Amino acid sequence: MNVTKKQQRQRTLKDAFLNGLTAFSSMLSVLVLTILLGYVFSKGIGLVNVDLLRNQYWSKSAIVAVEEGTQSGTFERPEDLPKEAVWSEKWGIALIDAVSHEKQALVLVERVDENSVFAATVDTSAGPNQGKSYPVVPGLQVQKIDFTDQQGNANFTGMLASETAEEMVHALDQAVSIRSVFIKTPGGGIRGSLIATLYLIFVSLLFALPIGVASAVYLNEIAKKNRFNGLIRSGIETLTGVPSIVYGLMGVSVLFPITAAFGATTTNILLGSLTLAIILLPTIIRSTEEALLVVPQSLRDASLSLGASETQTIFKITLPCAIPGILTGVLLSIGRIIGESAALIYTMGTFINDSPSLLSQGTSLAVHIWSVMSGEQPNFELACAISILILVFVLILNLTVKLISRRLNKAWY
Amino acid sequence: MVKLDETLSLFQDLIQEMARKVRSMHCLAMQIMESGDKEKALQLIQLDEFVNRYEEEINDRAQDVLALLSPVATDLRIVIAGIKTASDLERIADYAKNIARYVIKNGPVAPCIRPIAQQIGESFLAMFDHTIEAYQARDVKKAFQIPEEDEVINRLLEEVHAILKEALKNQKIDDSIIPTVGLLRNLERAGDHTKNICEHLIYQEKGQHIDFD
Amino acid sequence: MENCFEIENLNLYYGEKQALKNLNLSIRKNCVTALIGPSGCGKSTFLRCLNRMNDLIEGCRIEGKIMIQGVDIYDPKTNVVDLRTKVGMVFQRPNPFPMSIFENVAYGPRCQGIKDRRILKEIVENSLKQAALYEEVHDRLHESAMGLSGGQQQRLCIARAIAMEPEVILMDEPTSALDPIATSKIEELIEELKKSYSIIIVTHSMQQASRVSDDTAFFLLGEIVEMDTTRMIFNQPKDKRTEDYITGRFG
Repeated sequence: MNVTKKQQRQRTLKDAFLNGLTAFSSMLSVLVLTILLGYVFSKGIGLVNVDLLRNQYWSKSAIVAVEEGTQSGTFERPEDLPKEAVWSEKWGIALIDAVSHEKQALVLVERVDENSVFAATVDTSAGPNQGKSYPVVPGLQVQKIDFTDQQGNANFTGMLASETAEEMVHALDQAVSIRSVFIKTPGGGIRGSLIATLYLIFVSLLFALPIGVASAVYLNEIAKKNRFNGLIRSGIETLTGVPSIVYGLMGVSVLFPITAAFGATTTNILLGSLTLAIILLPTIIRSTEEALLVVPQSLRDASLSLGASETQTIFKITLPCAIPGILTGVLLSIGRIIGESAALIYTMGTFINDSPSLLSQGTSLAVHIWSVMSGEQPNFELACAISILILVFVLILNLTVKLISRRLNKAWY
Repeated sequence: MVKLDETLSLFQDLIQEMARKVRSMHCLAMQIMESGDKEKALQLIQLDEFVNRYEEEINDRAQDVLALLSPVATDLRIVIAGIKTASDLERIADYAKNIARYVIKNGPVAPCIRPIAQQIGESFLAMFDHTIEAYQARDVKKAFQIPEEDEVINRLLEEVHAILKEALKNQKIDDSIIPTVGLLRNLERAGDHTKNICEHLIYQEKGQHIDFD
Repeated sequence: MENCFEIENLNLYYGEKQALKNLNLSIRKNCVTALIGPSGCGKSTFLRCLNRMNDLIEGCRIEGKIMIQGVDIYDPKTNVVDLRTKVGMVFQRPNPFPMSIFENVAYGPRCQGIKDRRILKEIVENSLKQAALYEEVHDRLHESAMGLSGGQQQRLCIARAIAMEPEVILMDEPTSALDPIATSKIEELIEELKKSYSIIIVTHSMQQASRVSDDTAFFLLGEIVEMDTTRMIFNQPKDKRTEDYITGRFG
């Protein structure tokens, strides 16, 4: 065949153009993703620490009173105290400057000597805890300290006067006796949402997994291949594509009475879990079906030829062999649960609950992000910090899925 | 390959059985040579039929082994050598039959060469026995020694010739002596076939074609 | 000699297509019967009829009688599960379950409801011994069966079938996925097993059929062309087509 130089050149150009196009597209997507991740990490990484996971979201204020009597003493500065902390020799307390996740200046308690007056304070704020012991412990925010100075005048020092730790310690050195302390627990943590998310994962899988696996087994192993079952199958496939907000609507209107029967008065975590369970069903059914399809027919034949009934074959051979695949489905579902927000806003509310229970409102991590971003002052840093946590979690899940599916492939031949 | 081993050992047993039958025929032939018992000679002729059937049986077995068990290497040579050995044994049996026929026609061996005929017969039987032993033990060394024994038979036959020449010179010759030479010739031919069996044995064990001459 | 299977006028259809045509044969007890023939001739289909594995295939219809111990296995009253405990099967590829060697062999008896570990242990040991595998695996009974070699796996599958103490063992090209040494081990095993069981073996290897079997049936296009003792089939086949096939001049 004769190919002219021109034709050759044209072909080279065309090939180069197409190859370039594909390379450019992949570069572009990698670039966008990198920028996105870079943004999230740079904004949020500063907030990611153990306190974020441990602290409650809402801070609690309390005024604690100091017992009467001689109060001051001479306390030696502990050696292992960080340099930034300011030590009050007279009162045996160390204060430190800090910045809240909302970028406000704070003064935190860093250390309290066990013989200090601050270690034996009593809660005076109204409520069930009134009169009980409420010692000042490290980590608390000090809003204000009321004291009596050398002239016998009542005075105060603290953040309310925009004072720094050093200034406060200096003021305290002038004090003769301390009267009360206005303290605040640190807030902005995601402990509640974390617990709520775990509730969601556990409860929704509790419902979705057995039902999903059972129906997959029925569709794939037991049901005859007729038109009715084909209809069920395509129905399930359609469910995968329904937007989750529609499920949310259905959850509120259809499932709420069920949770109400358990005593729920508002939207609640159980309702969210049930709704999520329904969202997960198609995923779990699909992945289980796929796992069942991979199980070699020869194993089923072998089981049947050994005089096992079809049911025994399914439950003793086919299903155990499909477990890795089912597990993959479960992990994918967990990813879905963590990422879901729209359906949960309807069914669980958007109130960040620091001590969630099944029948109370609460937020998952994703809804927590929605919550902190939908206020008048969106908190980008906290949102990004939570996003990092979600990303890490999803990454771990994906790696686990890969690992399991590799072992799944190795298991047969 | 247990089944092939088993079948082949049965196959070789059959060949040995046939060899024993052939040997008993030659024993009988020796008695007849001396006694000229025609009754027994007729019996011997009938025995030959029996040996022929052995050969057929061995051939059928060999066919089975080849068709069903696809032997290779030594196993294959055992079958091939077996077929050849069986056919040689059949010929050796034929010579015993020939002796019987001669005796029926011409009576026993002339007295003058009776002792030497007896000697030839015994040498042949010894050689045949050794061959069977070698076959049973699959002993190649022994097989190589057999041709020497055949030489002994040949020398004895030459002696017979010498005796006959002597008799011719002395005009002592009798008509009856001429068939005797043919009769003893049978034993010499039987010895040659026995030698062939040794060649087959060497082929079976070593895969080499040897020609004893 | 007694027969283990009597087949009368067996016809099998896959939808419209007839896969087996009017088969009439009897299979002798405690003998090895080889089924030979080109691919797609229906020999595997026939084998799977004998323990009703074809039941699972949709659109498969069977006419005629297959009698085992005087009972028609396609009689509506016959229990398929019972039948399969009487007629064991070994497949083309070794297909051990992904569990321990012990559990593989104990699987069949367990499914029948035997729970006593002592009895199970006895069954497993006996079966493995009969399958000439015990010596090789006795110190790792509780390790995964997937770690065995192909030949060992296939002998495990035979042990698994033996554990049910069947009357008949069906073997569907049991050595086609194995190397020659493993193959000859399995063939030796078959020789040994026929003392206690009747064996029906489908094979593509003419040599294997001639070596291991007592009877041979030659299948062609869903029909039995010739069935006789293996000796007769391989020495003097009566049908020209049989001779062409066994001599490799087919088609």
